[in-house]
Amino acid sequence: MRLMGKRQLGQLEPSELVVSVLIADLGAHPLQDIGIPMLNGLVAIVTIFCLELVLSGIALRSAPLRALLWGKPCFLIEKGVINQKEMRRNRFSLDELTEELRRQSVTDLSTVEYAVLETDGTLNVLLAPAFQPVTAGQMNAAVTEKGYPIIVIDDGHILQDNLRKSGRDLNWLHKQLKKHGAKIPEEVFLLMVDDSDQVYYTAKEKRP
Amino acid sequence: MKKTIAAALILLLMFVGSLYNIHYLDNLTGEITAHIQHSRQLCEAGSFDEAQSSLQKALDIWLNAHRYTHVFIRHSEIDAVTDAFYDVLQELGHDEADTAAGSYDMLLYHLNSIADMERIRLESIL
Repeated sequence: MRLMGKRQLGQLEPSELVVSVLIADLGAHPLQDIGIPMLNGLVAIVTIFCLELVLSGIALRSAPLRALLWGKPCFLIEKGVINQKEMRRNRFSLDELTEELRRQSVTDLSTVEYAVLETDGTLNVLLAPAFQPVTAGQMNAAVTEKGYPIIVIDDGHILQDNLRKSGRDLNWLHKQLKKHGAKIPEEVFLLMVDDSDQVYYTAKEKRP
Repeated sequence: MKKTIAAALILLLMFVGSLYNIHYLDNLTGEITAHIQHSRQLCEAGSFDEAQSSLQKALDIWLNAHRYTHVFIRHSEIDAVTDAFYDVLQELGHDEADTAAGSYDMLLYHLNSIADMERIRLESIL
């Protein structure tokens, strides 16, 4: 899965899921039956895996092949109207649609402008403009850029790389520890810092 | 792109490897079959000792290839060939030409089926 570039099962396209299941099955046979040489399973696994890599590599550069292998995203709700034909084509029931919408905190179908069923089976919902949350930009409100918070101490361990990335050094860290009443990093459960120098600190709980 | 090229190269390498494997297996079974055929002719001529000696040569070649066979061939098929060899040897030991003929056929069938299975043909793929 890592070589496919995916982290979760839910991210797998149908063909990738089939390949994963097939590889697991091929790997199990020589292990279960000692009469089958390991090489038989390995050759099949490597072949299927390489074919998958080659196909996905070509598909990355060819939209028609991509559509053929993985299908296309389809609109289950378009401009606020449920597309019943697409629902039937994708074997998607109304119960499943409302369930997916509820999962995304949408209970009122009339607030949905678009609902797109992606090729990996996830449903992406875009609310009608009137129901979308107001952004700071729309309000013309001034916002300060805080940057991305970086973990510096994780369960008592100093993450040297992250400390370097944050542009700070051990002196700064020791000052922070002193400020929060800790003597050594081992007393800290989590310490994070962002670009605006805001520090999130949690002390480690003492074990009874 | 690197991953795709690497995967394509591995596939190509495996294809070449499988062609070499077919060639090697053809040679191995061909050499053994030649000894078996010779042994069969000797058996039909009534020279059971020579037939046994020729068959023993074939068996030695087969047993010496055990590293290859155990890595590449299903163990049930290896056992079937080895058993068939010993069946023929036993019948030659009893000077039974008639029953040995059937056992020779069985031995050749098992041996050829191993080579047949590896050949790139519709029957062996499907």
